[in-house]
Amino acid sequence: MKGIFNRLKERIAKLEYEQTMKETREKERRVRIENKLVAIRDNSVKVFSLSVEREQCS
Amino acid sequence: MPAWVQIIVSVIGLAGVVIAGIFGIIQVQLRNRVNNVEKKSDANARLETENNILEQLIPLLERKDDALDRIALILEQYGKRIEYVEIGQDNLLALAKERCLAPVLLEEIRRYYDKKDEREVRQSILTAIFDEGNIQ
Repeated sequence: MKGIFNRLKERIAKLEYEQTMKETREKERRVRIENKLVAIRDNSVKVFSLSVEREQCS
Repeated sequence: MPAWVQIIVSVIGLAGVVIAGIFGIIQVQLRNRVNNVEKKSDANARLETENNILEQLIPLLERKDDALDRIALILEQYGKRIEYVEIGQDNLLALAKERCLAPVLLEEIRRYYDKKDEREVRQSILTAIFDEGNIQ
């Protein structure tokens, strides 16, 4: 009986480990995505600042 | 029934109750851990789905910025050749907000290079900016 519980505990521990790893991966992925979005936003502002400067120069 | 038999039966019964209690406690602990794993699994699945959606959107946003980049470049060349005093700073900023207009404007500006009648094309560019974008 003790063996059954130990095997169950091992399986649950494995699942916990897998989900923890997945959580870490997905959170890192989210950070990378958010960085990309920030870069896109900054680039957009920069491009149009440039356009406005050109317009002002003319 | 002799007394010693009663004692043995009582001890066995008591041991059974203790063992059942221990197994019950272990079972509750395991169930709690399984519930926590399930919750974390659901949260991870949601996070993964959100990430997948955002990752699909990023190329679209990047392409839009690419269009804006090209417009900025063309505006620079365009500005050297014709006056566009009517395109004020406010309108450019408003255009920046209406980013879906970028491809339309780009097409109109491109026509500038293909057509001989510059005045007509210039007018069509202004139309694309002011009319289609509803920019005053």
